Amino acid sequence: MRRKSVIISISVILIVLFGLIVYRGFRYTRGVPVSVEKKEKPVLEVPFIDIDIDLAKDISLEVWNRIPPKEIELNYQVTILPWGKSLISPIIVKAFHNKKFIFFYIRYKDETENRTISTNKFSDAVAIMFPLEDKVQPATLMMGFLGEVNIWQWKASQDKEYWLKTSAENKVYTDFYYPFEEKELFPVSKDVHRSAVNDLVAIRVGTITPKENQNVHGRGFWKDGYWNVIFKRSFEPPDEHSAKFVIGEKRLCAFAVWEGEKGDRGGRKSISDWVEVIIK
Amino acid sequence: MKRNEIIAVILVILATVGTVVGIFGIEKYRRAKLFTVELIARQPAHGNWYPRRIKVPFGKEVRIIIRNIETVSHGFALPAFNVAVPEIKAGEVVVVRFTPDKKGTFPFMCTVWCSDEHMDMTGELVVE
Amino acid sequence: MKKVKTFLLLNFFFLVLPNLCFAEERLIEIKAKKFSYTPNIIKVKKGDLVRVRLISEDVHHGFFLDGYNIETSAYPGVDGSVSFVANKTGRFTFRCSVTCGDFHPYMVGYLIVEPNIRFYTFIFLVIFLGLGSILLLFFKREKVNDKDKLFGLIDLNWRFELTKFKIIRTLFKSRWFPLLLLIFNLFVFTVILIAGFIGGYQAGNYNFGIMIVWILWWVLLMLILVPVFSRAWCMMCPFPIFSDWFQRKRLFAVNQDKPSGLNLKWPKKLKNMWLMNIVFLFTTFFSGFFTVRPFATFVLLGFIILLAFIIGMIFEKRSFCLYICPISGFQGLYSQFAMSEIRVKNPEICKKHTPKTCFVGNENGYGCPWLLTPFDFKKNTYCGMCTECFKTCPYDNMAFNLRPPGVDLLVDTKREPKGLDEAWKAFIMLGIAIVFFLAYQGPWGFIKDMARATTLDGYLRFIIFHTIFNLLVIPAVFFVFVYLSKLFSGNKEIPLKKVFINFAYTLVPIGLGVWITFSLGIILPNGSYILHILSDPFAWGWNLFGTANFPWTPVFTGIMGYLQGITLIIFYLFSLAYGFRLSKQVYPELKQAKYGWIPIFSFLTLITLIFLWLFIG
Repeated sequence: MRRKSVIISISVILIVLFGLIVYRGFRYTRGVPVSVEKKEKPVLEVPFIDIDIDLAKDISLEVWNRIPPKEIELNYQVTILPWGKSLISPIIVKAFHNKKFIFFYIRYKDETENRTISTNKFSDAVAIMFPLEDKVQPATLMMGFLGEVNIWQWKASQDKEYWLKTSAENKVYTDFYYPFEEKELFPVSKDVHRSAVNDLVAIRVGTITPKENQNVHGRGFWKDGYWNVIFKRSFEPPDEHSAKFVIGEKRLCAFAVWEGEKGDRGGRKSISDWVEVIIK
Repeated sequence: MKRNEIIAVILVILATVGTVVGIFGIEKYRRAKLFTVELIARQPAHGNWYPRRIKVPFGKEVRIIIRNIETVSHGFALPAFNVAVPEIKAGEVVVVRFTPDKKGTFPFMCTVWCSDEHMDMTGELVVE
Repeated sequence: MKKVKTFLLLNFFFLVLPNLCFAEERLIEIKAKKFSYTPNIIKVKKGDLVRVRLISEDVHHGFFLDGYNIETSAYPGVDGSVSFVANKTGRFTFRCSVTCGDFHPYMVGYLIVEPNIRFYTFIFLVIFLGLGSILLLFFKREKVNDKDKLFGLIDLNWRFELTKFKIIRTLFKSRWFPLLLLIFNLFVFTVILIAGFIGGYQAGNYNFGIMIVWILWWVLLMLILVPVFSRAWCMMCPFPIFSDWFQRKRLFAVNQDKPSGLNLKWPKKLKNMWLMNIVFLFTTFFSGFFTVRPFATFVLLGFIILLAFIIGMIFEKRSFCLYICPISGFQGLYSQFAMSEIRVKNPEICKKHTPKTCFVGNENGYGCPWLLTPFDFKKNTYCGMCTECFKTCPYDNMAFNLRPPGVDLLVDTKREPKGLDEAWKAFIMLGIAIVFFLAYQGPWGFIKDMARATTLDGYLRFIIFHTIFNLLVIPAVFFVFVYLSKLFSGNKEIPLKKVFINFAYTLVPIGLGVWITFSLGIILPNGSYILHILSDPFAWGWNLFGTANFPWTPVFTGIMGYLQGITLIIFYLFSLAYGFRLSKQVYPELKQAKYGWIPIFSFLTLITLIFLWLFIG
């Protein structure tokens, strides 16, 4: 039955061809196939060291030298307008606790020390953000949009006025105001600082609010082109809107750096992805 | 009539093979004539940018066509050269043009929250 | 003066005050997550000031309100807001206006502005018309010489022959028709396949394949091609062109030799719609994929054309088209309702004509590839309108007629009997319309998750429910009403099967009506994408006609509810009109027909009311 075999062979060839085309199309359904490596979150270990740091005196570099540094990469903030225009990356982070207080140390390269703020001059700053919920979605990186976050923001200008007790050079300065370039310079008048670090809460972009009780202290020193900034807060959360730390548990945090020289303020900053913090 | 049969066969071949060849041919010509680099935007889980490293020549005008082949919006920012596209919606194609005036390696990234690994959606532009 | 005062006071209390007193300011937070909203059904009262705050929980989502035409969108972390006064009553769909994923076109929610007068009006109309028809039935006197007129207006025997115009007849007799149409469609089909293949998992709403097939072609089929032109799509369908070419070894000319291929006869047991029922149902399992993912459309269409070719090599003529093609199934059934037909003009001429060239072929054309006997077939079900019989008939005795819709529903001959297979097709089409509406035009996210196989478990439950609902539940419910019909009629000898099969055909008009209504919900919101894909079919950055950046623009969404209601009512009336005629065919006595009709009438009214509630309630 020649006819039969011809038809069968044509059918088989067509089916195989179709199968090959489908297979090829399948592999390329998302463009050229590449192998995808899952990026692991960087882990910051917070060991227990029975030492206290008095910020009024110094930042105790010897203590910090005992702890291995953790390098965290930062990226331009380009997800919410206005975007970061400059990038500082990487930063070195260390942390330890003594059951009463928890300390964070951040060191990064910055050519200039910017401690003054006025209209058009902006201060260097560093912030750590802690989500307050237990289940945190990755997208919550954008100022905690599905849950509250507690942000500790240290500002060099605030640091100068608080620690060096110098009086303000100017009574007003410009702060950020979302969301556009021209409308970004919004004059704000000064208030008396209770610390060099602002203790803030936020849920979604644009809702950043200073807390009633300012519980975080910090100090920063600039030397040889590097900023060294310490954060200090009680280990137990002082109120319900504060970051919780539990020994043995993993928590999340993220970092942000502002380079005042390049006009960083508000949304213009360099940010990190989530970092896992393990309290030992 | 034999002639009609030939016409019919030619028409069918044009409609099928001709279309295929024509479409891919036109696109190839279009890309060769106009564009320097085609950049495909994908979530990191689906492969990230392709190609993730782009090499461009120093000093000459560069055109990058960015195609979003996904079902979510992406964006594009190349801060080193002040190039940015706030949002590239799903299925959209955007052309950016700039002239690289610095040599080195510069990052570009996605600017719209597209997936859980959005922060990972970065690539490198190498100018030499 | 006192009268005026009283009048104004009464006005105030009964008209103005209620609207003022109870109109509130409502702040509604809508959370948007792929692919549904929470809350998904929102009720407000007429006159309320509604402030909507859209919160996105994963990616950029949008909010567009039908009828009010207002829009906003929200990024994760950046809310969107819009406010409006709810001064139009009814049920309005709000949909996502930013492509957010594969099921984006199905991401909808419902806003009900009470009182939903539009819905109540249509319910009232249906009940009024239905009861009116029953009263008419029982109290109108039947005159013996009455010609059977549909709605008392259209003579069932009216035919208007289009081929009496010389130009149309010449067209039908030319061998270039429908070959040229076919070749054009083949070209479009090739573009669809390429777009589908390249498209991969891209956004379906920007893909040529998905838009042309599931939006343009499907809606054209449902709105125009089937109801008006019967199986005209089969006339220009490119699927069988390669198998025809293989069998005939010629594309244009007529080859009177034995066709190549095995030419097997299709097994007699399968010469019905059962296989197509199963194939169509099986295809709908994957509707969550091929309506949104270009590559899935490529696989489906590629597979169908491959199958068509292989079947064409093995079996005779258009066996694939007749007994396997999923589109063929529903076209076959619904073409019985169509307003066109191809029939013989003068049967006397055919009686004296041997051999019947329309069936065996001659040098001008092929014998009917659809295995029909053109000289005496009476139903549209299996006629693919290929016009070969026009070419072969030496007496020009074939005609293309316009006719009143639904005439074929009353035809029951030995050669073209009514059967269980067609009854089940009617059930399946109705059931699929319900499931598709719930899944794709309904606001329930969990059904969408099941349809797109977010979890294997949910997907299996979806297909099992889908199958049982279509193959068992709907026929079972219908059976109850059929049983009641036999009971009410008082006729004890008539076989229940006969009653069941005949009355199943009453579902044809209302089924077609439901699909047209569903199609309106597809084309009006999403039709504007077609302009985009015509200019940029492959998402490569082309701009052939300058419309590549045409924004998504829903049209006529304000009146969509009315259009849908009116469509349902029109087809409901057709179902009633033919239903009673079918009853008279089933029951030998008029009195039995009248009483036996009542349960079926109730069933039809009930499902029309259910569909009204689904679409506009």
